[in-house]
Amino acid sequence: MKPLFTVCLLITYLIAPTRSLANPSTADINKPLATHNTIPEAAAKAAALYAYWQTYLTAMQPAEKVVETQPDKMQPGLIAKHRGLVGQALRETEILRLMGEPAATDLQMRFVEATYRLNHMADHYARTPEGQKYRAKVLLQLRRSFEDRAKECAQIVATAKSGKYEEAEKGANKVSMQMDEAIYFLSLEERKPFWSDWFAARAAVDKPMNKIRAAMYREKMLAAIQLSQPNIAELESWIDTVAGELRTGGMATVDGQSIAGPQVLQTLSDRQGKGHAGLQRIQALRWALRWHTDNGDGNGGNDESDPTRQEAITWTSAIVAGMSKIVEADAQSVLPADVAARHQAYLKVVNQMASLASSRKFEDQANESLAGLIARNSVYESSVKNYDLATRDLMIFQSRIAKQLATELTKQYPIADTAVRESTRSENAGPGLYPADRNVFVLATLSYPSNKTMEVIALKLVGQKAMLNNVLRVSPTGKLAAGEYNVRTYGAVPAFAIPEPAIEQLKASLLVDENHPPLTLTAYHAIDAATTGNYAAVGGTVISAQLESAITRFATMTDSIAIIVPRGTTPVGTDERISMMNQMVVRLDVDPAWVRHDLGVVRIAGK
Amino acid sequence: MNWALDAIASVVDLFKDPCRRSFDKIHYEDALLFVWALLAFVMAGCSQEKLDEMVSNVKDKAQVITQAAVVAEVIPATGHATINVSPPVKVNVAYARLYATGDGRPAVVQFTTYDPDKGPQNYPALLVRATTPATSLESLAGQSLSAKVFFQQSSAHGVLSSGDEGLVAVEIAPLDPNKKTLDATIPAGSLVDAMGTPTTLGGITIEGVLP
Repeated sequence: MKPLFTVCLLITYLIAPTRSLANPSTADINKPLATHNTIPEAAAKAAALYAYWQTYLTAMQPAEKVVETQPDKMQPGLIAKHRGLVGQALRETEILRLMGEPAATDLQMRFVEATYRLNHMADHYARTPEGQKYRAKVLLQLRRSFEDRAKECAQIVATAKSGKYEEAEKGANKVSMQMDEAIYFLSLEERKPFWSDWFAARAAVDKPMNKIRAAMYREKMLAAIQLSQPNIAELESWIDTVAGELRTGGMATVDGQSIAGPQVLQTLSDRQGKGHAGLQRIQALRWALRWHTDNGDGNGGNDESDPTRQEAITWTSAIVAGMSKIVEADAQSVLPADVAARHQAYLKVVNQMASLASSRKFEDQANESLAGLIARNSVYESSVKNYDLATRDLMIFQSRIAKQLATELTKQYPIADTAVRESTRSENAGPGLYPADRNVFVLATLSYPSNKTMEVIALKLVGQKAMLNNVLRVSPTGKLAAGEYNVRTYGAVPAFAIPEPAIEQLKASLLVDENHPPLTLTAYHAIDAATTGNYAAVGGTVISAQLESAITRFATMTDSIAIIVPRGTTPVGTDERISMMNQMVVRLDVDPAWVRHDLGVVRIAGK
Repeated sequence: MNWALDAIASVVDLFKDPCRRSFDKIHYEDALLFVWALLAFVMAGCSQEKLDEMVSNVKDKAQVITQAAVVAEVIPATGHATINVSPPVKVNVAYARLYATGDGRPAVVQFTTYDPDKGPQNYPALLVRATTPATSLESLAGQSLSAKVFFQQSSAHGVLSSGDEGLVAVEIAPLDPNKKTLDATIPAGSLVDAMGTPTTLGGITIEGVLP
């Protein structure tokens, strides 16, 4: 490896973060695609490669200006040097791909293009009078060193055969750089005699090294999957223990602390969230492993089905069953005088869990379990029943009106993914995420380098009107709310509550004041969502967009951001025969014009 | 027999709405209603003569007597409502209910044209809802209330309402000892659709069956 590249790599290793979280966005289209860094060297390798890409661009800029008009003004030494470095960068990119990093797809497109540019420059230069001399010199050197190189290559093959692949690879890379630096100044006929020894050396090295690396990285990715895998047996055993304690003593010991049923349920919800985020990471790593077989040839994986989806269903079932067990066990020991307060405490947690759930079944199950608790106090039970009858129909009608109004608004504010799809179709086979032909069914795919793609789509995305569904506040005090991931798009809006008068009106209509809390889950949700800033939908204008690779988006999923995917579901990938390495996700940041909460639509003043 | 047709239509409609966060629930009772509605519909399609013949031919007379009794008894006692939109909508079923939580909140009085236990799953669906300090429906007789109004002619129609903040006056008539209904009148005014576009309302009259 050439010193410059080594130094570049070293410096970047030192300054590189453990996981690069940048991504190209409308604010900076040149940001590299982030890495998930499941293989710990990946982030540094990607950073080094992106950094070299910039170095290459800067170095070759003067040559690019004159290549067509004054090719004799180019410096052959510079072309040769970077042709060698780009060849090496492509080999490094292949390693990054084996690490399951989609940034490799982006980098490969860039470096392949660089080889075309450099070969073109070498060819044009070689046709100039100065170039003829240079070419003759190169040819002479290659012929003179022919025998030495043949020996060197034979030695590489022998070293590889003895099993010292890494040593052999170093030798092969050295030869490759020398050859890349020289041969593109020659004609095709002139190059031919130099191929066979070189190619034999590479063949002896590449396949076994790919296989070794693939196996090593696969093992690490499988270990990462294992680490994120929710442990259902452990969960079920824990549930049985805490439910048993609640049933007999009304309290359970969790993390050394004695806590009541609602806090136990909160712990269950937290565990559910962790498992849910883990399943998303697992899904992404399985995508990365899909094409990545033990022999490293990239031909098909072993992931025929979607096991993660099934795991998510099983995990959620265990959680829902746990919720019932906890509430029902607690109901056994609760004193009638404590029922109202306990019910309120449960509503808080159950409401949070229901907001994150993918199915209404959770709410029904929760109501059924809570009914048992409520029944422990007949006066309170009667209050809840009458409260339900007094508020339910109003909510049904208001919800119908809100949905109808939202349907009207959807005509102006398409669902975010539709907005992305329609505004990122490629024109004349140029950069875009979707093909111009609407009959071709593909999802957001990177087919040009990310910066070139962003250059085209950023302009089209900003200013679009779009609607995000199920917008949930990322944290109770955070400034951001996230819109549900749908097909290949998710979104973010600033977190805010609907104006106070609207909340007061909502509370009054649901018979709620500071001394009288909502008594049903539906009413609790309606008020909590509006005051917290969790909305059924938010419509507005796209102010910025970010391009992310699908694998990295989900492989780096944190517990708090995992809310973009409803609990119990996993992000859907492509047909398993299609690589996920070039599959993209778009994040839209939306300036809200209106929000739909459970019982109404609120237009934002001035929008 | 309109109510029977509507009941059938509304049960069919129920299965067409797969919205995730819908407040509407499909109740088991709706299936029963469906069966009753079908039965009533079939019987109405027969002449009295044919019906008599059917009755005499059916071996299990006890069962038929029960069914006939339901038809004979329920229809006259279902109340009535007229919603004077254009054209006016008459509904041969209406209820008056008062719900008190008993924990210091105001009570809620509701007039509906659907079974109040099941919610607005049948059409035309009218809800007149007011909060009140009263503790019984009877004590509301002769009073005036401010209410929210929601009206949906069918599941294919949008909801008309008195608006986000709109309340309409409801006059409750004095109790008629000969009737088992609480009667209310809403004067002419207007209702708005989801987009806020007003529709003229020529008033609403309701005879809501008491529990």
